[in-house]
Amino acid sequence: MGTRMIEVVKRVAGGGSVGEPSGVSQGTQAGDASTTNPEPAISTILGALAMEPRRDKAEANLLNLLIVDDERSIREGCRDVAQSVGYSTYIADNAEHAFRVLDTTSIDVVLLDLRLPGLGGLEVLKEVKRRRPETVVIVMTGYASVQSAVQAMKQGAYDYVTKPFNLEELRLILDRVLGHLQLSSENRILRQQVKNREGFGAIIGRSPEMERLYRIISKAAHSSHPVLILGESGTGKELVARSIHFSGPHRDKPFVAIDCGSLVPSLIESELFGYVKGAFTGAAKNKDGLMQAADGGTIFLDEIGELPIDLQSKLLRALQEKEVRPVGGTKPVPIDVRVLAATNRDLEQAVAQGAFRKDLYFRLNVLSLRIPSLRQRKQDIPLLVGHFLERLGRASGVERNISDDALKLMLSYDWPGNVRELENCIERACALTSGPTIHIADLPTAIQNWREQSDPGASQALPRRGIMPIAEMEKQAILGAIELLHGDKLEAARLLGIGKTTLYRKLKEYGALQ
Amino acid sequence: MQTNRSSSESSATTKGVNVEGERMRAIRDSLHELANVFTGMMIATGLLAQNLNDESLRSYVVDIGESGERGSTLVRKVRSHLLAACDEAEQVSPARQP
Repeated sequence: MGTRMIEVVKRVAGGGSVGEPSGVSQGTQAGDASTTNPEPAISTILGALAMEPRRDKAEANLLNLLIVDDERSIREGCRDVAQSVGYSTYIADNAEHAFRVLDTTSIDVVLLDLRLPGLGGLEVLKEVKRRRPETVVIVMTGYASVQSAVQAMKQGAYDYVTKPFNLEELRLILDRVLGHLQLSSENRILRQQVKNREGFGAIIGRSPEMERLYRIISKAAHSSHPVLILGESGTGKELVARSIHFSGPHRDKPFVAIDCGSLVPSLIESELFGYVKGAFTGAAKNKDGLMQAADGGTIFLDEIGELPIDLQSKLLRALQEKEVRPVGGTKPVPIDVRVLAATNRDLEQAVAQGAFRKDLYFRLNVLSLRIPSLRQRKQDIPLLVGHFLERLGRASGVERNISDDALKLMLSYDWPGNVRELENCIERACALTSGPTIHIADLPTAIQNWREQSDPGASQALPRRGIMPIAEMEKQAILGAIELLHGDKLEAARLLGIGKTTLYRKLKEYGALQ
Repeated sequence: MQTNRSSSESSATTKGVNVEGERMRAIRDSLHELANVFTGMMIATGLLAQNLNDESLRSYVVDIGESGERGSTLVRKVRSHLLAACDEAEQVSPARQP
């Protein structure tokens, strides 16, 4: 038994925790037949060690390496080298033991001998990849034919090393894998960051309605068909459009958003399709339109329902012919854009009323998705509130939270303006509140009035266990004083000991200023 | 007669190929064992050299290491011949590639 193993057994026998972040490997001898006969108790402990998932992995940030070889000297030698490189190691002398370790431990890398007793190395490799596809496998082969190397690679091996090899060769390969895994991990983090910035991560919500939406976005992202995004105002239609674009294969190409509702009608055509020099007064040179600017990428036509009917036919032609004709130009310009359109209007009704072209509607409505309103996913409100508070806190450097009562009221409110209204509400409350906690009194009047409509006794009722927020007490004191003084605000301010400007500001906050 | 002779010749040839194949396999297995021996020896020597405090013993460790490298080179050489005899191309370990 190696010194390292004795150390581990001593630590275990002495009640030391398995895999302390000392960097000492468990030295797992999973059924290691070639180890000097350990006593039953020790072998039990060693067996347990083999099966014990590492608890210190996150702390020590070590990668787990499993060495599978029937040759004891190679197993132990590789183990010591791997530990010096920075791995946490497990060893197994045959396929069965290797599978047992794989089933119970999060193994990142397997160093696998291709010639094992029983199941052949290639079958073991296949099984390892089946059980843990993400595990990196390095095969050790004693028969260095191109054929065997190709076979191993085909089965999913990351690298191979031919025996005999020395310490430096082994270290080189282990270092390379370490670098590869670190790079993969960094890539994963970066991808996640990008996703958070411009992918689904920008859309907040864990409700079943939102999960369904994510699935549709994911499918839409990998298609090239036009998508019609439907949803009430403030639900985040542009955010969904961005998610579709930035999760798809053309994420590196432009994403151009156009609000058809805000463009000056006389300028929409030149904005969309561009113009040539001399097309109209002031057209001093050729200018590309937004559709050309989006070439290769995505154009997002927000509020498509607001597009004038004459331009609808021009847009339809551009989409059908995949070319645009700049204003004043004679030559069509080819374009390759994916179209995403959004509206909060009932386009079917607009079609029935003749306000929207039926053929354009069908052209845009190849795929359609509807974003749920906030009242349809109220369970996401705490998540959204937390997100906005965190974002505002980051920007202002002041951390704020929300009282239970205020959150309860927000959960009962219907949010006709959806997420945008919620965001504005939080921003306003953060601006008005003087303390670290947002109370009901800091919320907009519409929401406070909602409370009184939905629960007339609420303003009288004391919150939990007789504790009333100071802001609420202040509001009651001000409003009560004005009532007692028959509307004499100046006298109320004097008696309350506050300035008249403060009183007027407070009344404005409460929505009680007439 | 002609057919019988041809058949027995074919049988002898098959037998010869089988014997040859078995020999090749035996050499291949032995080479694998030798490769294991030298791998264990070289890694252990490398680790020993790293952790050796007694300078007077270092020359012995170096000698063992050099012998291991020589033995390894021989294994690779024989394996190369064997692969050539079997019409198989040799794959050089990436770590050994320049």
